[in-house]
Amino acid sequence: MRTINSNMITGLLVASLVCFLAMDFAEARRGGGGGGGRGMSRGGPAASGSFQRSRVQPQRRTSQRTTSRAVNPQQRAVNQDRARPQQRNVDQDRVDQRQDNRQDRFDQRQDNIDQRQDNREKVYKDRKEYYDDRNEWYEDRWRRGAYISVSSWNRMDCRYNMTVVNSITYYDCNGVRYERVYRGGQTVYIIVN
Amino acid sequence: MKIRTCMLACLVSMLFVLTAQAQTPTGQDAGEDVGAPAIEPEALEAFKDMADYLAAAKEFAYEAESGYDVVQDSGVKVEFGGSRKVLVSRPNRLRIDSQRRDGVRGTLIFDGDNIWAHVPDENVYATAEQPGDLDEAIGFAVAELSIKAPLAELLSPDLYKDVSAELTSALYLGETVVAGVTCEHLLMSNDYADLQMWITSGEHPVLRRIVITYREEPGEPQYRTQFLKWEMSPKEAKGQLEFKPPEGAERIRFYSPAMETDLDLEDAS
Repeated sequence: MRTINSNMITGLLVASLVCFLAMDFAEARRGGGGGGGRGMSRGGPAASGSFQRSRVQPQRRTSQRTTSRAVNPQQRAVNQDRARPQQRNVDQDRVDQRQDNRQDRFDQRQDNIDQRQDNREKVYKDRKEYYDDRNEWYEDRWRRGAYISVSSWNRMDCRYNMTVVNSITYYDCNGVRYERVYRGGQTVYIIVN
Repeated sequence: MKIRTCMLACLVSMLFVLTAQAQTPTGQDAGEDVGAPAIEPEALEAFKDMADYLAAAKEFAYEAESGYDVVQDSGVKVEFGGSRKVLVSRPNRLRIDSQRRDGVRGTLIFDGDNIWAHVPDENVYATAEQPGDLDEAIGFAVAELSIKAPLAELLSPDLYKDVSAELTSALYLGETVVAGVTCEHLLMSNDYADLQMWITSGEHPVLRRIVITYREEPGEPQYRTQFLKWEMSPKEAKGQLEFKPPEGAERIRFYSPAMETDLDLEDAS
């Protein structure tokens, strides 16, 4: 009887342990530890809290180059530790130096290529943005109702004439008639002819 | 005897495990994919509590700080935003005082008969006749008068019905603390956007924070609002819900799509 009781207690202990682990697992799936989230991923680029892309996604090329440079001095140190004739060490150093120089020249060329590519892309992008803006301006003006903000209006340095027609005030400036209206939480000047 | 005891222990273990899993707060299996669409009663209940609480209030006011992403042509997102004070007096009166981050201030007043938009820094105002109740008037103001009314759904007495009718999923994400206040965190989606809400736990279930992600829009921009203060019995509400044009104020018109039509006609000629 004592054996049975002992085994039953052991069984209950095991059961409790299994139960505890199961509940712990379920809690972990929900995010656990308070604060909600319920197992939703908290990672991703925004989780880095950094404005710099390089901190969010370290560039592979940079790390490769760093690694290759880090290996050479280490290799040299190993070589030097070995009991070789002094001349052999000097030769090895020259070889390493030439290799480093070659690597540096290669890196410099690659950087120049990248820089030229970036410049070309920037020029292309700027040009495209200029034409997009211009097209957008024309489209806005003639198809959606042109308007300018109050700050732009103040910068126009225009000696306008005010005309009141049917209680509506119009502003004539350089042959263009404007009306001040309320649009989307602010006042703007729209072109009415 | 030992074998029978072991089998008994195993049975008890399985029973305990099944019971423990059945008692998880969401009633979900621990192995279930939490990203799968589902409508959880607990989420709807928390949302309904908040919606009913607001709908039952004859008057209420809140102060909030908002921000929203604008996806630029280059693909980068820039956040704009501002602060606003909102005062509601049902059935048909509303006042919104806002200030954008660039400093532009504005006041909107729905006094039951007219809609007034006032720009104090330029001393100009626009006015239009107000149709129907607050819900109808806001719809008219947004569609016809180019007035921006973010989170206007909150002012609708049918908030729960309108939002829940279009839900494709609603998840209760648990309790979290927002600005020192314990809240129920909900994630709800329709076929266009994801809506996260943090609703104050307890007897006064009001929104503490809301984030809307426009999933179907390029760049998935977000709208965010942090509610700083709620008043369910605002003082001196009456005086604030009337508008008298200040001396020397110029009356201007609301911009309307009809003006665009005029321009199109002129362009075509």
